[in-house]
Parts: sequence; C-alpha cells; structure tokens
Amino acid sequence: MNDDQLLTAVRDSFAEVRLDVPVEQTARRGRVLRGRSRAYRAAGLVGAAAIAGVTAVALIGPGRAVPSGSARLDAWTVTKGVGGTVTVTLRQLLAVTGLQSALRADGVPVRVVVRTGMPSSDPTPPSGCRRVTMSDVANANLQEKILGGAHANMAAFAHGIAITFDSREIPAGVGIDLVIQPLSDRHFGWSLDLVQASPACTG
Amino acid sequence: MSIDSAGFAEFYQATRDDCLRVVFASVGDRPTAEDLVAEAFARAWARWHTVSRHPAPAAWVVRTALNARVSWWRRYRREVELPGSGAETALLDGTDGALDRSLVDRALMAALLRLPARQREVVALRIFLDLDTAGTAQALGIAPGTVTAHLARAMAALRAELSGVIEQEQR
Repeated sequence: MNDDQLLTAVRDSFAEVRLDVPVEQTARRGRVLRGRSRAYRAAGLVGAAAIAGVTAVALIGPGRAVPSGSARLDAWTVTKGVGGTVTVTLRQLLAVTGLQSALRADGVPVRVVVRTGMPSSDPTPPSGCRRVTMSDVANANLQEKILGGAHANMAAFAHGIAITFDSREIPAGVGIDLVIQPLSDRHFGWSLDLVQASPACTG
Repeated sequence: MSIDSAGFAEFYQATRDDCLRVVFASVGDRPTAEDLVAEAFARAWARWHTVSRHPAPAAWVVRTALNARVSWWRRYRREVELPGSGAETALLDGTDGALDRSLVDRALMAALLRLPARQREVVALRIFLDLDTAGTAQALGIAPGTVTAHLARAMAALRAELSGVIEQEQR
C-alpha cells in the first residue's frame, strides 16, 4: 500500500462526516462575538456544550467506598481499582457527604464542592486554595493524564457520572478541585481544575 | 438572515465539512469537534475582514478550534442531562458520538486515535485541507522538518495497522 492509497482510505472513511450547522446560526454567533471585546469569554462557552445522559436511579442510599463489583445503588461510590485508579460514581447530585474523605483516603487529594446558583465555567477557588501555576497546555496535558482522557471517562456515563482518576499521575503538591453545579431542573454539570495541595484546599 | 460578511458564506459552505473532519480526527470526539468548529467559524465570521486575508483561512479555523480545546481542558467541564431527553438512550446504545461508528470506519479511526496527537493533526491537515509541509507547519506552529518527521511516522504506523484491513476490503 503506497502513501496515496493510505491517505485515500483515511479520507474516504470520513466522507459522511459533515457539519450541519447552518451558516445563519454561525453568523448569529459571530455577531455576538464581534460585540465582545474579550475573546476569552467565548472560549469558556465552548466547554459548556458537551451533553451526556444519566440513568434515573430510585431509592438511593448514602454514598460509600466499596470493593470492586458492588451492585448496590448508593448516592455515590468510590472504587479503588488496580494500578492506582480510583473511580467515583455520582448518582445523586447533592448527597456528596463523605465523598471528599473517601477519595482522600484512596489517595486522591481533592476538594469536592456542590455549588448552587449561577453556574460558572471557571469558579473561583476558596480562600487559601490556589490554582496550580503552569501553562494552560501543561495543565491540560496533566489533567488528561490524571483522567485518562476525556473519552475514557465519558464512556462510563450510562449509569451515573463516573470519573476515574489515576492517582499515580497526580504530582506531589497538586490537588483536584471538583465542583458539581446544578444548572436547571434537567441539567447539572461538574468541572475539575488543578489546585495547589494545601490543608485549606485538599486536606 | 443576511450574511453581512461578504464571501464568508461561500467559504463556510466550501470548507466546513473538511474543517470538522480535521478537528474530529484530532480530538476523536465528534460532538466536541462540532462545538469547537462551529465556534471557530463564528470567530472567523466576527473577524472576517482579517481572516479572509489569511493565506489559508480554513487552517486558521482549525487552529482556532484546536486552541479552544486547550482552553476547554483548562477547566475540564461536563454537563449532564437528566432522563427523558433521549440522550441517555443514545448512550446506552453506545451511540453517544464519542466515536461515530456509523460514519467512520472503526479500524481507521482506532488507528488514527492511537497516533500521538501531533501526528493526528499533521495527517488530518494533509488529507482534508491539502496543506503542504510549509502550510501545515504554519498552521500548527512547528518547524517544517518536524512536520515531515511526524507525517513519516504517522504514515508508517497507519500503514502497519491498516494494511491488513485494506487488503481484506479489496478482496
């Protein structure tokens, strides 16, 4: 197989991938952007667009850390896997009491917060909790390592929000700020940022 | 609604699919790619007087989309829709769009996704925007020699992974 054949095969496999957004919609959005003086405000909106589903769960009990394979439906579960992975599954939005402690006990330096009110794409950390000082690219790369890639995490959404951390990839001095935000009666969101590990922030 | 940026509509119609393909191949997630590309085109519209003079406006759109992804990762964020919207059905069916198996050959996409990110970008720009080495280097902000090296490695890896699949299809 020569290069042309190979490139043609790849090109052909994408033939049906098309962008269906009408130009009028793009122009409307463009007008909004044109009216803004700071382009970074738009960048934040891009991240808010991904949607995933979650299955309804009735009669949910309090959360707990469980051995792998548990079938009980708790508000949340934390499962320690092989090789330093820790998976948290959230099934109920506001019942996260004890979740932070369970994650910390399994080696994930984390602050877990439920924040109601107007959602923000970039919520401010509390006093005494500072973001890590690194470039956006380095931050993104590190988050991808810790989370094992966005797609690996998204694939586990069928029965709740499942987030898997690779605790081995969390450098010393770095912690995780996990914010859960109810957005409406039908949507909620979670966001994650890297912070400096400190007693005030990650225990 | 009238499109008051002369020439943008034609540019959009001619390039939007290929820009989506590049970003889809680069990020591996179609809904995310669609969001990023739509936003990048909107930014192109807002700055059309400048972007239209760019030597490769489609490459500008792709670069903007990929840069926006970095901003998005800076604060990793997901929204979840509660039951009843139909989204959960798609997920349970395994058709959430993370890998659109009805549109993209599984083997090709799997092989592409196994490539390092920069190699994926180089291959996608070469295939879908038909950029040469210099244009690819400019779009990605890397040296032409680096583009050549990435492309050679990517082609070798793809060839090794796909040769069996292609030969089977040709029988």
